[in-house]
Formats: sequence, structure tokens, C-alpha cells
Amino acid sequence: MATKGTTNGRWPSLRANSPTKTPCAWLSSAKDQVADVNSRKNIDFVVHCGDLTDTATNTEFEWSRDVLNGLNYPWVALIGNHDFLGTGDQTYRVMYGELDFAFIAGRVKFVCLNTNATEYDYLAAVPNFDFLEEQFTTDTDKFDRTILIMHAPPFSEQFNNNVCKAFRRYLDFAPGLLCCIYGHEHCDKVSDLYGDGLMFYAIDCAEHRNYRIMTITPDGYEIEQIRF
Amino acid sequence: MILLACTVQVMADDSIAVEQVNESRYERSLERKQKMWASLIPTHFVIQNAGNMGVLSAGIGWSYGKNRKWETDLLIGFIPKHDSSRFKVTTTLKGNYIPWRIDLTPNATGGDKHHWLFEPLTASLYLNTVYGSEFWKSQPSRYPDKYYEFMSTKFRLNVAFGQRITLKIADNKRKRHSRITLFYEIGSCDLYIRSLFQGQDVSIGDIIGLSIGAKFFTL
Repeated sequence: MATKGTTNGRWPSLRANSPTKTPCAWLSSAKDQVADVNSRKNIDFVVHCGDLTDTATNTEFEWSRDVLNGLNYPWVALIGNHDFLGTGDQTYRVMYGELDFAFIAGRVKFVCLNTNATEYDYLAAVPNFDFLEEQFTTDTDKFDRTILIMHAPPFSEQFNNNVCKAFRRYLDFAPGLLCCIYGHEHCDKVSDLYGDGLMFYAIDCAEHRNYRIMTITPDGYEIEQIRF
Repeated sequence: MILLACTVQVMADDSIAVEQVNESRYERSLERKQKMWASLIPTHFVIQNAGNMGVLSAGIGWSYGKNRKWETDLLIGFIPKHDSSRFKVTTTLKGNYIPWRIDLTPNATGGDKHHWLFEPLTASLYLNTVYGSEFWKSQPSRYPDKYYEFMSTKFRLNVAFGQRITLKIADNKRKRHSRITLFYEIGSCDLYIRSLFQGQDVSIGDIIGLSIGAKFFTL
């Protein structure tokens, strides 16, 4: 269930290798996926879109971490809904850090957002609008474009669907928003979720043996599905 | 057709039952009740490390059955805080089966000799629970039906196999205990066994854990 996203970019024409999602219960597929990514050149980094585990045990967190550590490229991992079970979110925090995080690569800001609202029974600030606002307004001299990455997409049973439309409105504040990338659904899907031209890319799980490589160019991006 | 003749031998019971006039019905019932409640007195104390029930667990147990081949233990365990929000408490109900008991000191006869016993196999099945609002017995209503495929984050079913060495203290040297047992177990829980069947890459070695402990028998 782990989604592994590869987002890598290469300069000067800024290339980003886009997220792959790897179900973690299916570690061997994830290993093959890591090998496939490693066999490629010019990958800048890899993003795992969440669900590093199936039942959020420490052991499972260690298994998926060990597989992902096999990557020859830098990688980050989002938290998926399965990773919350029991005290899994605390394990994630110890192993990976904050549940919402962001980084800038090649003047593109990648905002990795925790959208697993159902896991909190909708009582938490998930998605965290303050965090989004902070990311859209700080270091604006260091980036021109934004990519939003999450585990569960709007309108899914994990998202706080009461704020689906407000969430979309908020994304208008993201400087040069290119697209949104998510995992969760165990399928490869490209959709215009809100019907307004903002593209959402669902990255498949490792068991289905495909992922996507995103290449960011000066005037846009390409996102290619890779089968392995 | 063969006819079989059956002889029924009726024996007259010559003996005359002597009425126990000195034991009243009340006393008999009291004795029965005392015997019943006495069977609930724990036969031993247990202390155990690991085993999917915390860094340290302690509890009471009962051994019963022919040659004391069966045991039931009730343990309370402690999971330290480490990097989590707080420490946690667990409760475990454990059944053990000990089919064989080999006396390593068969020549030690008489009541003043200790005996060393080796129990080459123990098989345990146990259910444990962890306390805390993060853990649910069945899926909370916020989830769609059968959202997560497994039963519960609060209860774990575990299996373990192990071995034991027991010192049976000589009758005339017993102070507090009649037997002291050291044991180890290798076990796993339902979630890990499940992942064994799900992922081609998980091996038995990845999912088992070692647990050690001691038992102090008083009865």
C-alpha cells in the first residue's frame, strides 16, 4: 500500500522524476521498482506518495525504509492512511519527520501535504491551510512554480471533503502551480478533478509495477508512465 | 440363529454404609466450595521479557491437567515511552501446552534431592491487548465498511514455541517455591504472519521474535 513517488529533476532543463507509488506489503515489487529507478540516469529525487506500511507496525516501517534506502537518489516519503494505524503516525514522525513538509528543487517548490483527515476523525487541521499558506508565501524569491503532492486526493474517503472546494480555492495562491500528485488509489490515473484545468496525477502502487517520471522543463513539465 | 445366554450375576452388597453423622450438609457444601475456590489459587508467578506484550510483563498462572501439561497465564505488560507520546500497558491471556517433561536427574531419589527437568517443547497461543484511545477493537464508524482488511488494532493473536528448563526443589529444601522454570519462546503475531502470505519478500526470520522469562511455582 505504500506509494512511492519519484520526483526527480535535472538541470538546466530541470527534470523531475515523478512519484511512484509502491504498496509496501508488496516489498518485492517495491524492490524491483527501486532497481528500475536506479537503472535510470538523471533522476534528481524520488517521492513516495504514502502508505509505507499496511498495518503501521514498527517492523513494517523498517521494511519499507530498508527497501527505499536502496535508492541511489535522494527520496522523501509522505504519510499514507495505513501508516496512521495504532500509533503509526508517531512512528512516521520519528522516522521521517513532520507530516506536512516542503522543499525546493530547481526553483520548484514541492509541497507534501498530509490529507488523511479520516484518520483523525476530521478533528485535526488536515489539510492544514496554515501550512499551505506559509509554503505559498515564504521563500518566494527562491521558487517560481509549485507542485502539490499528497496521499489521498480531494473527494476520496480520506479527504476532508467538506473543504474540497475551499481547498481548491486555496491552491490558487500557490505560485505557478503546475499540477497535483497523489497516491492512495492504487491506480495510474490522470484527471482534472475539479474540471478547471488543474491536473491531478494518481501514481500507481508498486504491485501494479508502474510509476511515473516527471521532467520539469522551463515552460512546463512532462510526466511519463514507466512500466517495470 | 445363535442364542446367547447371558448370566447376570447379582451381588448382594453386604456392607452397611456408616452414616457420617458428624459432617453436616452445610459442612459438605462448605468443603466443596472451598475446594472450588482453592482451584483458583494461582499455581505460579510469571515474569517475561518481550513476546509482543511489552518490554516486561508479569503475572500469575495456573498449571493443570494430567502431568501439568497445560497452563494458563494472565500477564500485565509495560511498553516504555521511547519516542511515543506515553508509555502503554498491555494485558495478555496465554495458554501453554507442554507435552513432554524429561527428568535429567532420574537417579536423584529421595526427598532431599533436587531434580532438573527439561521440557523440550512448549506451544503457546495468546491474545493480548494494548490500552489507549489510538487502538480500536473494531473499525470506528468513520471508516467505510471493511476499510482495513484486518480485524483490530487493539487485539493481537500470537503464537510461540519454546523450551524450558525447570529446577524441582527437593521436598525438604522448599521455602517459597516448589519449582523454578526458565524458558524462552520464539513467536509472532497475526499481523506478521499475515504479511508472510502477502509479501513474497518477507521471510519467517523477519517476523519472529525471541522472548525469555521465568516461572516460580508455589503449588
